[in-house]
Amino acid sequence: MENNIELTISEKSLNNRNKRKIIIDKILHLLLFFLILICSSIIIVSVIFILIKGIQPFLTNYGSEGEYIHQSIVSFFTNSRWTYDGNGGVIFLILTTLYVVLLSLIVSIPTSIFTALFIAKIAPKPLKLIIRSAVDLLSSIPSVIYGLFGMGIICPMVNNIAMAMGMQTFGGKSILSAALVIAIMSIPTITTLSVSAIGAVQQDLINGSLALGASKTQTNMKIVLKDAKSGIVAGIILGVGRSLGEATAVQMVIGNNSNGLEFYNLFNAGSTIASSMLTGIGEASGIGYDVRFSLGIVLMFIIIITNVVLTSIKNYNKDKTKNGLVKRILSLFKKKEVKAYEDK
Amino acid sequence: MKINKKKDAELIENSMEKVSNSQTIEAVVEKNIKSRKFKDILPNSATYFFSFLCLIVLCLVIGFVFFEGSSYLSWDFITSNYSRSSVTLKSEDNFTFEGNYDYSDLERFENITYSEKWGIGLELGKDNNQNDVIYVVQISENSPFNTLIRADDQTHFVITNEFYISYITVKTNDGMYLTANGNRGIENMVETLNQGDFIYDSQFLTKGGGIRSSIISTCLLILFTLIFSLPLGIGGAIYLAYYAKDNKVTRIIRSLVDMSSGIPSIIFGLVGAAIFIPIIGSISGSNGGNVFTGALTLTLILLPTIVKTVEESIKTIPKSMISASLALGASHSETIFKIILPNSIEGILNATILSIGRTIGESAALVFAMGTLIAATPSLTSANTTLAVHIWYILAGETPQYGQACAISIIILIVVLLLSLSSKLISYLFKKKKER
Repeated sequence: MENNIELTISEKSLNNRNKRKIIIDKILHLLLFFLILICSSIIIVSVIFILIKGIQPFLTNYGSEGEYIHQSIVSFFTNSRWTYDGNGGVIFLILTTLYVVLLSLIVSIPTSIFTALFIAKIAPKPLKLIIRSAVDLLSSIPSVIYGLFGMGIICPMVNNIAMAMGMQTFGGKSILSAALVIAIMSIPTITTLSVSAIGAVQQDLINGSLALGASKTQTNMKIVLKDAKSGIVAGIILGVGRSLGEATAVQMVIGNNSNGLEFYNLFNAGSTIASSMLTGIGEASGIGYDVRFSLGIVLMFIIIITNVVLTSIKNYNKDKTKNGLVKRILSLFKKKEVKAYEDK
Repeated sequence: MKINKKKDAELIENSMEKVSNSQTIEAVVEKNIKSRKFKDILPNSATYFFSFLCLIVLCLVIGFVFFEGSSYLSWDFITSNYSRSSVTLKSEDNFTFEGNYDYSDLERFENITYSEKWGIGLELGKDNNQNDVIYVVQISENSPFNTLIRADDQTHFVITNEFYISYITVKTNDGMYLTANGNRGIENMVETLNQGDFIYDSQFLTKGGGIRSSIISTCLLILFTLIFSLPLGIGGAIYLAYYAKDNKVTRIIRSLVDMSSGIPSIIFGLVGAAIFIPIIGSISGSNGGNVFTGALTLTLILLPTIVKTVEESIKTIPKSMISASLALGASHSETIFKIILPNSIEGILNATILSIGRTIGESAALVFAMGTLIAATPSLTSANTTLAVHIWYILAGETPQYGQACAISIIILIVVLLLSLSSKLISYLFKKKKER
């Protein structure tokens, strides 16, 4: 009898414990799901808030006592000059941003690819370690220090070059300086991704090339780089995305010239979207503050569009029949033709 | 096809000619190999050139910062406040100079210049902008300097050795006024003091330009960012790695997290300014950004990185370990806390290090979400700023102060360097542990 009672008690407690465990499990599951929902909803909430705040300057009246001040939509898309008083135009900010990033790519792409190749395939072991840690360190240096470096070293350098060419600069603060700073900042990103892409190239491919009589350098240049192309392009896309949104360093070296029409000249001061969001933030109030949110919307659109375009170019090259945007549209037409032919 | 055949025939003919010209096939091959070697030099040296370019850029950045900043970096610079306090002093109205004070309590040093009339020791020093200034380092107990009063509220004020002299105007017995500026040198100062008998007006300043409050706010920001972001990020990572099934919801969640890592930080700064500043303001009554709004904004920026890093390290845990734990009767929650968390500690540590590094270096987002005001006293709910924003602020003005900016950059660089070293150390230690 006693044994029996004990057994039932222990069974009961076991059951209770199991029930408690199951409840705890369920709570934990829900809690973790809630946490990941928060993590993933960040971007949605952010976009919604930026949109709400960014559209406000176009709709609300910031003037007092009968004045009507708001960001006019017409000048937003037509004015060549960016101002914070409601009449600024964003078109040349966009052009300058794209121009600066494009210029920076001229420097950063060859540097990154060759450095990545050096790290992954060519370098002897000690050198490989040194260059690799140098790239790692470059990627961990904060942007404000690159801005400081740009102001202290690159701007005077650019100024000297301009003087030698007989041109005037604003103390070296120019589009060229901004492009150089951005290039330095995006080198580690592109290099790191390229290194892993080059490392993922199949050894069989390399061996095959070597067996056919190609030299090591020929193999590296013509086989390895070609095979790692999609990874390298992915790195470039990431680097471009970051460069487009870079604010502090660019704002420190670009000179913040609001007149956009002169952006084509390398030695002129200009301003990008992100840098003009930052310029004069200390004294900004009213429409001068809120219009920065509108710039935020523009910046997000530019980044998304650039990403989509670059990704579709990448896929177009990678798989000509399936994923390319142009090719896919073309193939749609082709299929129709074939069908029409078959119907006949 | 026909054309190709023709071409081939031509090629063969050409090569035959070549062979006949140089007589042996071996010679042609050798020549080809030689020319190939010559051609290979260019791309090979290009890789060397560009990777050394990276190295040179790194050395230039670090060298520039250390070269410009090292002379500005001092203990005073780290521990003093940014805002300088000034005090205007004068002698009491009924003060008359008696002539024979006993200054025997002053210890005499060689590098200190003494004004025997007033019983004070003056020493040349530097302020935080590296200008020469005169510090009052010694005051005799019997010196009339101890009886000076503040010009504004007539209270006694004894200057300490933190203060340096901006200017002193003395009145002589015959009613003359003489002024000595602090930047005119120490002899001029002592001479003027010795001629006067009454301190008519004088201004003393503390150093200023220091970064104490920015350092403390940066540490507070790091602390609160980690408190907010780590639990969220680790929880999310565990869900994704352990519970999430491969279905549409999970895929959407994953792509959303991925997408938010591609958004530039300045956008998150705007979000922080639009969401967190009003919310925190209504809770704590603060106006504008503070440490909390900055930390919440940084949480938004860091979450995707933390989720990804921790998830990767959870995925490396062998499935058999988790199955064994479950088979032994442990519940899911027990498995998570006793198997998954302890085994993903490497990822968690790496995520922490990454977060600290990003927090120290972040500037664009914090300009919006935390503000640029360099406060005198660091506090949680009032406006203050971090080291990176401090650099931006002192460089964005009309006269950029490179020296101070570089000095702060040295601190940031050292921290970043230590962080990357410690992450290397962590991965090395865990590698060793796994090998055992």
